[in-house]
Amino acid sequence: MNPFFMGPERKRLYGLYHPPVLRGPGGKGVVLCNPLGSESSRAHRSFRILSDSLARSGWHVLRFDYRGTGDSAGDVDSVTLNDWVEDIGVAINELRAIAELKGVHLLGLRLGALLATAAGLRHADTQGLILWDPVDLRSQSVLGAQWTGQLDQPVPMDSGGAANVRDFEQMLLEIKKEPRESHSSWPHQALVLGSKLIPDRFRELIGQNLRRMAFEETDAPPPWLEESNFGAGPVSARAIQTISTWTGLAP
Amino acid sequence: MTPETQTAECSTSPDERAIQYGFSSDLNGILTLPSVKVDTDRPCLVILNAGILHKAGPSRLHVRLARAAAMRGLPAFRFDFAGVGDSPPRKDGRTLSDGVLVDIAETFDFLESKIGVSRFILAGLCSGADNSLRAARGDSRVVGAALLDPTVHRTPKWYLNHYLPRLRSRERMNHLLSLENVNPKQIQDLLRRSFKRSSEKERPELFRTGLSDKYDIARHIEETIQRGCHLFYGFTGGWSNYYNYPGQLRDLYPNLSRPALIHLTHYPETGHTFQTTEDRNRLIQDLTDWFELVALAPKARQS
Repeated sequence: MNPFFMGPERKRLYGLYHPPVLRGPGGKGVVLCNPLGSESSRAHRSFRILSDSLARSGWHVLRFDYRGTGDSAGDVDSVTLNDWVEDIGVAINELRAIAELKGVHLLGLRLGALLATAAGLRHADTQGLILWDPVDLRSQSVLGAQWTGQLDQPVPMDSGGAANVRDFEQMLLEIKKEPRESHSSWPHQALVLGSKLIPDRFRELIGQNLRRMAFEETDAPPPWLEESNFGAGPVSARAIQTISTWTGLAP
Repeated sequence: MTPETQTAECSTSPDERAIQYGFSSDLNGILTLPSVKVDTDRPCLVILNAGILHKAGPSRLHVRLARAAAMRGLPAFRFDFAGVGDSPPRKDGRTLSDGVLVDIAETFDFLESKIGVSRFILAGLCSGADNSLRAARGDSRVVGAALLDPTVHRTPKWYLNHYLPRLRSRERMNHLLSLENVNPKQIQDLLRRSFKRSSEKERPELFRTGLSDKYDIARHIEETIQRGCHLFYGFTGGWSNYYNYPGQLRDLYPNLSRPALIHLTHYPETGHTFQTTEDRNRLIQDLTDWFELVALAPKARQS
């Protein structure tokens, strides 16, 4: 596990690279996209264990903190959702450079799943999406009613930072309209793992161009919810196993 | 950055560096440097994990505190104990309680060689506070320790503060004394809540620092201040089940040899993890003011 900072000055992002235990020709890479706020703190342990597990399976893994969160530069009151989508792009480029990869997978938890979706649609080098407990797009806001704000406005400090769902859907639709070489550059496979049925709208937004898509419903305890009063969520061996199995079959 | 060119340290704007170090275990931390050259006569702030939360701290409290200290000219370092956050589990077979002290000592050794400082201020919340006191007692390089919501014991006045308002409530007393108001479901709920509370007292290993006995804590405090180490105690309203009035610590330990070295602050309106911006700002202001006092105090290092 190698810690480092990446990205342009004043937007430096803290990253942790987990090199594959078994190196082979080619190789596969995955960027992990955090949830936000306390969900991120609680899920930190699960992400570390998942990273180790994927690295043992031969994957190059990069964990990182969005700007204004965790150990990265800046404060959350001066960033927007678009900034965080950009940050995922920085992490994609960094991992590709580190591991000399043509493309990477994106794995996002909760709001990180939606940010990963947006980044995946924008970056042609995204080979696949793994969306773990994505925030329910049917809900009134991305992370609950207290999360308000506008897509390109600074995120309210005490909200933990997010925009409402209409903004997010609009962002995905706008990203899909952006010029691109061909639809074949879109993520062509996805695993959606969650404890709830995935909303149709979400399927419509991300699913229409996918060649391979899997939905796995799980009742495993969510890593982003506090297990007790200790600030950490449970580590779901079952969910990690499901992700490892699916990624093991990924081309 | 390719793996081959990856170094253990990379700088970031404006002054934070990711560091990987450690002799007995790989440790990961972030060094925050002042914008001016480090004055090696001044102490370096070292912030310890709060329980199993990683080095950014609750609501990035540790990030903000480190940056505020650096703004005041003090280098600051926050790191993850082996097995916590971004540091892998230790492999040397030491117990968690011993391993934490080894990690702190190796952190001091590293910072001495890296930036030339030789005096340290520790800061920690909850178990981080207990670990700060344990390290401050045993390592003479520690000249100050900021202890936020450490393990503390109740006093007779705590019980008065806690129960007297309940007894003064005529309505509540009438309710308690009137048998006709007894509701079996309420009793069931009360028993269930009591049972739940007792089961929640079980704490994971990372929260058990080995510092729980009242007299053992007194010995730690006494030996620490005897050699001139300053202590900042901060208690929050979130800790009111253990601490509920400003002078409780002095009532608990009235015979300490150098009480002037203890700075005591009570934050009755504040939650245990300093969740609001206002609470964090106030704490950081108080702590950085206190860091200045410690930095200016005559050197009291003893072997």
